[in-house]
Amino acid sequence: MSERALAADLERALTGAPAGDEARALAALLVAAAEPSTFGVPSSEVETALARTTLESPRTRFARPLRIGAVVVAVVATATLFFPHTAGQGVQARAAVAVDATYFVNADIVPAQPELFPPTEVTGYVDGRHGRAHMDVFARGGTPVAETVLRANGSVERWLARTNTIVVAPSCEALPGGCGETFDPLGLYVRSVETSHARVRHLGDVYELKLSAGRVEQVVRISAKTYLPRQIEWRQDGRLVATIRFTMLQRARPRSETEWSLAPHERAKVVELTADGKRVRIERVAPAKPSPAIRWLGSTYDGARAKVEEITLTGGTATRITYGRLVVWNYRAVAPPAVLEGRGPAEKVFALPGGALVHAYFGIEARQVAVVTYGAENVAIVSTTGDHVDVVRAAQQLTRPGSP
Amino acid sequence: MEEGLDAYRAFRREQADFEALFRSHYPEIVRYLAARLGSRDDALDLASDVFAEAWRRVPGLQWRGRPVRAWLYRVAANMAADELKRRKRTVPLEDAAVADPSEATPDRIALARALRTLPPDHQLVVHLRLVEGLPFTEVARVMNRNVGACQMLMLRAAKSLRSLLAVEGVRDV
Repeated sequence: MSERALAADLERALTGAPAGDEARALAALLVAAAEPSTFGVPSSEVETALARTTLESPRTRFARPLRIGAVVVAVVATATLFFPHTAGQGVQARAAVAVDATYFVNADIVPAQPELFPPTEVTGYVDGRHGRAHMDVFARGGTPVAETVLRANGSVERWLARTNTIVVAPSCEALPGGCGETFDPLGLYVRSVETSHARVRHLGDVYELKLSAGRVEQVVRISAKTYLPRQIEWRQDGRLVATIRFTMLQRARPRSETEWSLAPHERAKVVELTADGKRVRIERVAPAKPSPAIRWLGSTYDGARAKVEEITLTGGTATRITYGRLVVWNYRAVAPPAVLEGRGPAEKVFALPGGALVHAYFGIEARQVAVVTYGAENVAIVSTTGDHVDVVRAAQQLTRPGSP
Repeated sequence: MEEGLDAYRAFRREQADFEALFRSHYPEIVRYLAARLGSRDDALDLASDVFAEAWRRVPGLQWRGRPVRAWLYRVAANMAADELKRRKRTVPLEDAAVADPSEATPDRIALARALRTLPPDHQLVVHLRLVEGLPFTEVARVMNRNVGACQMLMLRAAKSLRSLLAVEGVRDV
């Protein structure tokens, strides 16, 4: 009998089916060898081990940490070292687990001294699991002050009401004062409860967590029942700076991708910053030949001949192919200003055959933009003809030079 | 196709629900480690480490066509190997059987010891098929091999056991 046949015979013997002598002898040996391991683990032991695992091992969930309140976070992060196990670690772990989801947040931020900053109200969503946030900031009386979107990759888009400007940056660090002015206290808390060591006190129906690092300290009161924060005090050098009271902190269903985008802001000026905070501008334009690496609409499109140019941007490069009033941009990390300026309020998202994703923006001053993303490569089609179908149709006809 | 989709959904469910994952697989990982280490207490300690690692890393796992259970066994196998290496450097491996010592007989002890000396993949196939009672199709998914290869591993495990016991002078178990 071949080895393969014997192996199959052994399986028959193990299942109790008729089998040859050798297979049955080997099966008996295996069953006897395995028998001592066939013990049960009582459910009480399983539950105890489960509780120990989840309480004693705080998760490190953020592949890319929240950039909210980056100035303060940077200080907090510097203290992210080894901390000894304490009795409060279980409470801290539960607190961290409690905010590991998407929450709708509404909070009042009141300065300790009126001259520090005006009282504000923040409202929006924080996705603690993926490190995303979308917050609106209002002055007392409901006047909008700012809107900020923080993405899981750390990039930030911020609209400022006073100047009607949208600032797009690869990280909070690129913004002139970080994201501190967005005042997202929950995001900051989520970040620090995971990474810093908390001193914990039990005060009736709440726990008080002191998350300190350098000059900044958060004194957080969390519910002893839900482990969610009720109030946060920000202290600096031992002095109270602001008090944040959560008027609403409600678990929300996961939000769609479009809800992690800025709301439309008509006629807002768009400013893009590089990683080191410089404004992205066109620095040089040079005529070029179409390289096989780009995508275009052919040597002519709708009767217009292609004009190909290499564009040097602050912090990056792009290729611009102009067909009359239709322009195709090829770029990677740094988007050309013309692409961002053309992004209007309405957005349509669809996939091309092959998987490339198209974001189409319509409506600002007859300018239409479709951005097609092929992994790290982006191709944007900007049209000033005022025809929505124009850019969508063009997006579907992109090819590489030389391809049929 | 449907099987693949179901497997993918099961993977995502386990990834999202750590408590369910823990309750489903903790006992079997304890049993597996007990067989590898020859000590139930050590198995409990090491299983805690396996699941602490799972708590941190399972949410970030990528779908590669294999269940989360396969990842758990791989981590458990690596940790068991490290523990056995550490023991070799410090104290000799005990000959304790996993079950109640009062039930241990010299032949059973020899058998348990022989099983622990088999290559890790032989031990794993015996464990998955005979201790956990998984069908070979599932054993194959956990071990990332085909069913025939797993059956051959089982045969080799059995033959190795027989040879090892013959050396020990044990004929019947």
